[in-house]
Amino acid sequence: MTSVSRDGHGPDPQDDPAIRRAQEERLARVWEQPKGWRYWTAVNNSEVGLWYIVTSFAFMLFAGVLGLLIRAQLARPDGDLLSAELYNQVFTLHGTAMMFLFGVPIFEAVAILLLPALLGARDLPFPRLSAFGFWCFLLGGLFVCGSIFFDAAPNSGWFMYPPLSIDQGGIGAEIWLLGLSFIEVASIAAAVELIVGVLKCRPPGMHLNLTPLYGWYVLIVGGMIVFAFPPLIAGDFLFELEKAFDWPFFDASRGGDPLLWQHLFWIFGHPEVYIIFLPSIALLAMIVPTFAQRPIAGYSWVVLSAIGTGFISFGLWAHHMYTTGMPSISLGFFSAASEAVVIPTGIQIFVFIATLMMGRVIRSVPMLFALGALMIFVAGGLTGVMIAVAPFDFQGHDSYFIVAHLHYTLFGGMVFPLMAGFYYYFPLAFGKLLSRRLGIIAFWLLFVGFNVTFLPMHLTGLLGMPRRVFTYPQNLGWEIPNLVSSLGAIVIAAGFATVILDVIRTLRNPATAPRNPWNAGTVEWMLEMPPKPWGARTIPHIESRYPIWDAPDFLARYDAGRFYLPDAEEGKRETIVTSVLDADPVQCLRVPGPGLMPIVAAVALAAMFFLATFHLWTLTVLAGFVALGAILWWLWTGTALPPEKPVKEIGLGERVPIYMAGPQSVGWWAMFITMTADLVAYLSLVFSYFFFWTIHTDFPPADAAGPGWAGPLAAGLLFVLAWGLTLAARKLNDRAHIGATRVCLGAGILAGAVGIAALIAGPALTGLDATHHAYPAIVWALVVWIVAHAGIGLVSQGFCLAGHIRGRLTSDHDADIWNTTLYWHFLLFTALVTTLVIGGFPLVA
Amino acid sequence: MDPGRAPTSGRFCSPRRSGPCISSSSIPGFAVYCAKAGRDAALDPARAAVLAASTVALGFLVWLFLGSWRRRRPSVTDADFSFEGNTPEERHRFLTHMSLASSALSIVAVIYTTIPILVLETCR
Ligand code: HEM
Ligand SMILES: [Cu+2]
Repeated sequence: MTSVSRDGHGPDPQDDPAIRRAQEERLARVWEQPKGWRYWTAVNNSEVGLWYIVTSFAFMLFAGVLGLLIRAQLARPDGDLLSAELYNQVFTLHGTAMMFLFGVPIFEAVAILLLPALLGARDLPFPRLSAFGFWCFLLGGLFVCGSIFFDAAPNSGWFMYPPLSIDQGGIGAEIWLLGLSFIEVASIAAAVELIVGVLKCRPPGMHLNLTPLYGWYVLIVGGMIVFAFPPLIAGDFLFELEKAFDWPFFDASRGGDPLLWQHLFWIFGHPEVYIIFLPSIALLAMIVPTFAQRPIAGYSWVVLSAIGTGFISFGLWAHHMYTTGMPSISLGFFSAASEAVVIPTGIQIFVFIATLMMGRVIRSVPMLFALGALMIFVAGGLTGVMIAVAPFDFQGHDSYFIVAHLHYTLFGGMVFPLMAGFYYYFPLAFGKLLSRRLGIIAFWLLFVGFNVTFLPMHLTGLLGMPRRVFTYPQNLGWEIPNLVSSLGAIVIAAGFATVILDVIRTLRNPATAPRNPWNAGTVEWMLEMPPKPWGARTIPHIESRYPIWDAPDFLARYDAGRFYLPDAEEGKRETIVTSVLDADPVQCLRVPGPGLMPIVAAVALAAMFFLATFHLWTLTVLAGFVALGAILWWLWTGTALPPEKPVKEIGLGERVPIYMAGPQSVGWWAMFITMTADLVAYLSLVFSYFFFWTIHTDFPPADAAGPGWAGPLAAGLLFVLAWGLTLAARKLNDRAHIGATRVCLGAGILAGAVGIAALIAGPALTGLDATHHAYPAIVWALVVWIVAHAGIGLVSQGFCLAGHIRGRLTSDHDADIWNTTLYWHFLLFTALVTTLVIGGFPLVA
Repeated sequence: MDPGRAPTSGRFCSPRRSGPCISSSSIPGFAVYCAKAGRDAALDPARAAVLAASTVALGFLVWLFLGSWRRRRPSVTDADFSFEGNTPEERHRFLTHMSLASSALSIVAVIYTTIPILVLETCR
C-alpha cells in the first residue's frame, strides 16, 4: 500500500514521517479547544457531546432523588414526609425530568458524541447548532427543575391534563409548557443535525447498507422526533394561549375539549417512548457483535424492525386513552395496533439473541448490562401486551401496575442499555477503562434493586393502589409491597453511587486503556487513545461493516493518514460530505469553530420563554428581538461563506467542491427537515380545527360572523405573489441579473407584508373574539401561526437582499436564496391551507 | 428486471409508507363517521369503507411483496448472515430485502387492524 500516492501517481507523501508529523501539528492547531473561560464557546462534538451527557445525567440524578423522596413518603401508610401539594410537584417533576430532561436528551447527547466517530467524520455538519441546542437544553432544564425550590413546580402529572392543570392555578403549568417547548425546539434542532449527519456525512464508500446499525437507529429516531414532537409543540402553543389569554381550546363550557389535549399529547407521547427506547437498543446493536466476536446476524432485519417499530408507534397513541369513553371500534383498532408493534420489537430482541448464540460470548460488564436489559425489557414488554388489551387496562389504568410497567420498559429499554453503552464507550471518550469489579457490583445492585423496587408494584397495583396518591391508609394490604419497594429504591441508589464512584476513581487514575480494548470491528475503534482533538486522523474509505476485522491493514493505513483529508492545509476545520445512497464524496465541508453566538442566542431565547411565563410581554418581545439579532448575526458571519477556492483535493485522487447550494448542500437538507417538522406542527393545528368540527353539531357556530372569505382570499393571493417573487429572485440571481433580483426580493417583502395585514384583517374586521368560543380561538391560532411564519419569511427575504447588496449572495454563492425559497414553498403551502380552511370551510360546512 | 438495476429505492420507501397509510386513512374516516352519526349508529357504511381501504392496501402490499420476492429469490435470509461486499448490487439487494420484509410486516399490521371492524356492529 505504501506506494499509492494521494493523487494516484508519484511517490506518496504519507511515506515521509516528517510530513505526517507536520500534518498532525496542523490538525491539532485547527481543532484545538479554546482555553480559559472561552472553553465554553467550544462547539466541537467531542466537547458539546460530553457536556450534554453530563448535564442529562445530572438531571437524571436529580429526578432520581425525587424518586427516592416518593419512595420515602410511601414507605409507610399515612406518611407525612411530604405534603400533598409538594408530593404532586415531586412526582410530576420526577416524570417530567426523566422523560424530557433525560430520556430524549441523552439520546441526542450520546449521538452527538458518538456519531462522528462511528462515521469516521471529524464533526457533525452544524457544530454550532449542536452547541446552541445544548445551551437551550441546559437553561430550559434548570428553569423547569429549579421551580421546585420556589414551590412553583408543575404539579398535574407529566402529561399535564387539562382541566386539572388549568384549574390548579399557579405558574407550574406554564413553566412546564414554556420550559419544555423550549427544550423541544432544541431537540428538533439536534434531530435535524443528526439526520443530516447520517445521510450526508458517512465516510466515502459506506453505502447505505454498510451504515453502522447505530446510524440507522439515529436516522429513524431523528425522523420520529421530526414527526412526533411538533404535535406537542402545537398543543403547547394552544395551551399557552389558553393559560395566558384565556382562549378556550380545552374548556368544554366554551366549545373546547380537554380530550384534544390528550390526543395531541399522546400523538407525541407514545412515539416518544420509542424515541427513548430505540437509541438505547441501538447501543446494544453495537455492543452485542463485539462480545459475540462476529457480525450481527440479520443486519437488514434489525433495520427493518427498527423502521417498523418507528412507523407503527405512531398508530398507538390512543391506548393511553382507553378509559375516556372511546367507541369500541377505536378501542379495537388501537388494541390491535398495540399488539402489532410487538412483532418488530421482538425481531430486534431475537436478532441479538441469535447473534450471541452464533458467536462465542465474551463476558464483560457491558455484556452483563446488555443481558440485564433484555430480561427486564422483555418483562416490561409482556405487561405492555397485557395492558394493550382494553378490558385489562380498564382495571389497571392509573394504578401502580402502570407504574411498574413503565419502569420495566424504561429501565430495561433505556437505563440498562445506556449503562451498557456507558461502560462500552467510556474508553472512546476518555481513553480509560472503568473497573470490571466495580462494574459487576454496580450491575447487581441495580438489577436486584430494580426488581425489588418495581416487581412488587405490579401487585400493589392489582391490589388497587392508584398512582399519584401522596399517601394511603392502613389495612388495605398495601403496606408490605410498598415497604419492599422503598427498600429496593435504596439499593438502586447504591448502584448508581457505585457507578459514580467508579467514574471519579477512573478519571483520577493515570493508566490509559489500550487502543480498541474490546477488540471490536467497527469504525469508531480506529481512533487513537486517549482521544485526539481532531477526532479522525484521516477520514477512512469504508469497504465493509467491520473494517477493523475485515481489512488487516486498515489501522496501519489510518495511522499513516492514507485515506481522505489527512491534513488541514488551509487551517480550516473540514469534513467530507457524501452522497446519500452510495456515499461518493461530493463536498469538502468547512465546519465552524468556537463561537459565542450560539450561547448568546440560547440565553436570549431562554429569557424570552422565561419572561413569557411571568407574562412580562414587553420584555419578552425585547428578548425575542435580541435572540433574532443574535441568530441573524450568527448566520451572516458563520454560514455559507464563499471559500477562497472552488475545489479541493481531498486525497485518494478525489477533487470536490468546497461550496454547495440547493438540494446538494447540507444546509438545504437541514432546512427541508426543519420545515417538515414545522409543517407537522401546523397540521396539528388544522387537525384541532377539524377535531372541533367533529365534536360539534354546528361548526362553525351559527353566531360566528367571521372571518369571511374576502380577507383570507386576498391574503392567499398576496402570499402567492410574494412566493413567486422570491422564486423569480432566485432564478434571476442564477442568471446574474443583479438589479432584477433585488427588485423581486424587495417587492416580495412588500407583498408578504400586505398579505400579513390582509390575513389579520379577516378575523379582526369581522369581530371574532378569541376568548368567546373555541371556534374563533382556533381561527385566530391559525392566523397567528401563519403571521409569525410569514414574519420570518420576510426577514429571510431581507437577509438575502442585504446579502446580495453586500456581495455575500452572488450567482455562484447562492445558498441563502435557495434556502429562503425552500422556506417560502412551505410557507405558501401552509398559508394557502389556512386561507382555505378559515375562509373556505365555513362556506361549505 | 435485472436485480442489480431495479429501481429499488422507490420500492424501499413505498410499502412501509403507503400500505399502512391507506388502511389507517380509514381511521379518521370511521372516527368522523361515528362522531357525526352518534353512538348507536350501525357501523355498516363505515365497515364497507374500511374493508375497501384494507383490501386496496393489502392488494398493493401483496403486489409489492411478490415484486420484491421475485427480485430477491432464491433466498430470504441466507446472504444476510454472511458478509456483504461493497458493491451497488449489494445495496440493491439489501433494499429489496428490506422492501420484502417490510411489506410482510405491513400486511400483518393491516390485517390486525382490520379485525375489529369485522366483529363490531355499532359505534358504541
Ligand atoms: C431511582 C429510580 C426510580 C424510582 C425509585 C422511581 C419511582 C417512581 C414512582 C414511585 C413513581 C410513581 C409516583 C406516583 O404515581 O405517585 C414514578 C413515576 C414515574 N417515573 Fe419513576 N422512578 C425511578 C426511575 C425512573 C426512570 C429512570 C424513569 C424514566 C426514564 C422514570 C419515569 C417515571 C415516569 C414517567 C413516572 C410517571 C410520573 C407521573 O405519574 O406523572 N422513573 N417513579
Ligand atoms: Cu403508549
